[in-house]
Amino acid sequence: MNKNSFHWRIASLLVLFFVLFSLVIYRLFYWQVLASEELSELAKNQYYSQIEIPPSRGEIFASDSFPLVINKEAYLLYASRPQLKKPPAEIAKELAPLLAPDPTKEATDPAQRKTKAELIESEELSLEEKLGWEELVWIILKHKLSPEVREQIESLAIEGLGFSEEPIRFYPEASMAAHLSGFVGKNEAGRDTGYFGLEGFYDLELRGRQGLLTQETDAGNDPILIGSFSNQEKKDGQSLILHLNRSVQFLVEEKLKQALEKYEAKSGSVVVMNPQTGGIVALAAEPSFSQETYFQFEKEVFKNPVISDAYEPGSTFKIFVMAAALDRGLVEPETKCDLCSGPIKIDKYTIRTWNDEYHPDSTMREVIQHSDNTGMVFVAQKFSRDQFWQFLEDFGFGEKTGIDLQGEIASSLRPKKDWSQVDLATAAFGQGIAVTAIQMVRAGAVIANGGQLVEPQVVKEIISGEERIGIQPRPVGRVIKPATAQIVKEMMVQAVEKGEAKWLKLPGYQVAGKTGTAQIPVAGHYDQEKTIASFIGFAPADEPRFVMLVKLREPQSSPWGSETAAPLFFSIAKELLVYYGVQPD
Amino acid sequence: MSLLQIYLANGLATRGKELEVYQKEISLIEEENKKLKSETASLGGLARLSSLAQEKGFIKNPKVINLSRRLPVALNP
Repeated sequence: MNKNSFHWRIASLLVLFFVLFSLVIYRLFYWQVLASEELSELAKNQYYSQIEIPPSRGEIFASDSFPLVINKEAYLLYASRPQLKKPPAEIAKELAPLLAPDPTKEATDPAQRKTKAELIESEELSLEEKLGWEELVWIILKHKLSPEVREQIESLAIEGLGFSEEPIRFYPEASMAAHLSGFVGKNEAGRDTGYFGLEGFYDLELRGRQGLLTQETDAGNDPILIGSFSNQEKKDGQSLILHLNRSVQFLVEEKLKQALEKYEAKSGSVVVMNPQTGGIVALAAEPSFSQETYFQFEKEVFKNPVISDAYEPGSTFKIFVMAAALDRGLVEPETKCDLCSGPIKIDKYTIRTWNDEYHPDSTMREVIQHSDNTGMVFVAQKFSRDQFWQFLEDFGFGEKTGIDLQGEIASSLRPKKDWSQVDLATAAFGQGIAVTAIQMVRAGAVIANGGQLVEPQVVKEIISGEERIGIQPRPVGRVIKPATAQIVKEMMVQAVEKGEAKWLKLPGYQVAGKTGTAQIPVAGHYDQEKTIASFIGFAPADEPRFVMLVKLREPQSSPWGSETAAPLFFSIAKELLVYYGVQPD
Repeated sequence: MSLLQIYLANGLATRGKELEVYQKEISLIEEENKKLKSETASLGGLARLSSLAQEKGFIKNPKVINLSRRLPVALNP
């Protein structure tokens, strides 16, 4: 072996060692620096267990603290694929009979219902498909299972299946006040979200914040007490106490259902409000839905017609126009109408009374008593366009009332510049103007409480942990003088006692009220057959305990408010007066 | 002192299992409470009470009699 060859071999060995050493250094650099984060995460996963603590969604209580919406235990069923010992098809076959939906809950129409066997078969296929997803380790199989179903599944002892708590909304009063409460469904990300009513409006408050418990654990996954521990506390959702009186709500719902049947109306609604505070005591609308099985209903029924539907109020609107005219000194209660002797012609339109009977020289009191359209045209002609617009704004028409429910609309008014003499005249008796029922009730409360506009409120108190936060009534401001409110109140009492609904008056009680029958505009003209019958009023007139609006759409037995909405109003009012312990005079 | 520390640390390290048992017990009681709450609430629902009353033969009082407050015999001395 020559010297050169020896040096060459030494050099080669050195290079080889250098390369190997570099590889080791590189590998160390890779594990220590480049992959350090990933490795430390993997290590954390071994040392620490993280438990997500779901917050409990806030509950909703009636004014007597009885629960209207609470949480009930339910479970999410999942499969951990690596731990499954049986083939997906076999598991699906065992689970399907327990997880298949109830045919009666699947569709409201019996003709569209699938048979139990069909539902089990489709459930089996769906489960098999889910269990076969190879790219997933943890698979959600079913949401919101009852404890009974959980027990049945556990008794099957299928390895690899697990449950996690996933509370469900429960309604002890069944579908009571469905339009008020709204419901909880899943959003696009699969999270529980409130929709409509209170659930929608107060979703953030009700939802709460998820907690996270991180704890060092031993090989058996039991916590190490001296190990590191961090706890991001969960924050349960806030609960709501309502102004709603469930006895009144129950009564109103029953009466409304009976009235819809009796008068063969398409739909209807009733709102009862405390005129002093604006607290909503009861709110019912038909057709309604069940919050628990909301998915079975058409989306249209979720909308609360009291806050989301605009309608022409008809004669019930007269009391507000009269109140504004009296307050501005445009007319006096004893002012005589010199236009009331016959139909009035404005431009190409002729305005008549509802029954084509005319009362020449009627006083303003008599105009309300007879619900005289020509008398209201007389009043409207005293207003300038600006004054009339100002009156609408003062009473809150054309703007949202601010009620704490999701889905309120403002029912926009026609721009001021577009108001013609005919528009003013027809608006004075409640045609050609759109309002919502809640705007009308609020305006009714102005007369009842002596002239203050209040903000309607559904929630009375918010419970946050141990703290109870009262929500104070929010008066918007004075709209008319107390003396004006008193005069209009007297006119309304006279309208009840001597007007077309006099046969309904309650002996011993003074009830202030006004009927309304408005034709429904269809494609640019008024449909002669279809009407919205309504009645607005409050009782007892001197110290009102409630203001109430009753509205029936397209009653078939009679189109008139005095023969449909008014009887419903008085049948509810009669029981409310007894319930509130108001003694007759 | 060190021995005591070792003894305490040892004790604490092995009591995780016990904690786990307590945690399970707490969640079980919480579940039971929720169940009881929803059961009592559903028993007190007005629709249920109303139909129960009907079954038992209760009817709505058709006539309400108001008793007026009787005036005292002597208003003034």
